[in-house]
Amino acid sequence: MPGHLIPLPNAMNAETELYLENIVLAANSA
Amino acid sequence: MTASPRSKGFLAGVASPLLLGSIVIGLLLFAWLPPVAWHSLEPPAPPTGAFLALWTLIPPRDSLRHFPWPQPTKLFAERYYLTSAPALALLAGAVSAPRSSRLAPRPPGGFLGSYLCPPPTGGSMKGFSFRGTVDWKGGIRTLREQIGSAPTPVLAVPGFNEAATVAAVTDPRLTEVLFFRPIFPIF
Repeated sequence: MPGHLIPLPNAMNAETELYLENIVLAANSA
Repeated sequence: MTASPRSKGFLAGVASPLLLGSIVIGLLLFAWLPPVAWHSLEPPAPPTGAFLALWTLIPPRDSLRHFPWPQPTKLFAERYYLTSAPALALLAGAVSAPRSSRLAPRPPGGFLGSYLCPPPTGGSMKGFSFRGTVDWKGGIRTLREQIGSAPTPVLAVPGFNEAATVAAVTDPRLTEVLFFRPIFPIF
């Protein structure tokens, strides 16, 4: 996906939580 | 679901196990039901062959909108044919019924009629939507105003059932469907 979009699943589960954690970690380290 | 169905996928949808099973069930029903049961339906009159053909063909005709040539956004799922499965079963039974039956199928008329009718799930017609009253475009417009030209990361969650997993939302093949531009013009 181009630009500044970060796609998120519409179901919250362990996989989604891990995915979100990685996004937050990447954002904080940027 | 496939993001870009081709003719092979379309044929697989038309001749899916669901529809083939419907034909078999329809044939069995007409073979087992006594003919007098149909003649005693008074009223309402049994549906005509043209109506059944129309019912059968409208979903496939509507699914043509999701082929590559009508528009850049593609979405195709075999479950679209669920609505036409009963009609196909009845039509198959009507075709196999004796000529004395009141069911007189006229597939060509129904076929042509289905192509003259507007698609039942348009959703893209101006000022009219089957997708409910949620103002997605307005929400996205507001979001765009807030973001402006800044490179702010935007978290987007599609509403499709298929977008339940990380693998689905990060799959390039599905991305153009799950985040398709008419609803999310921000992209």
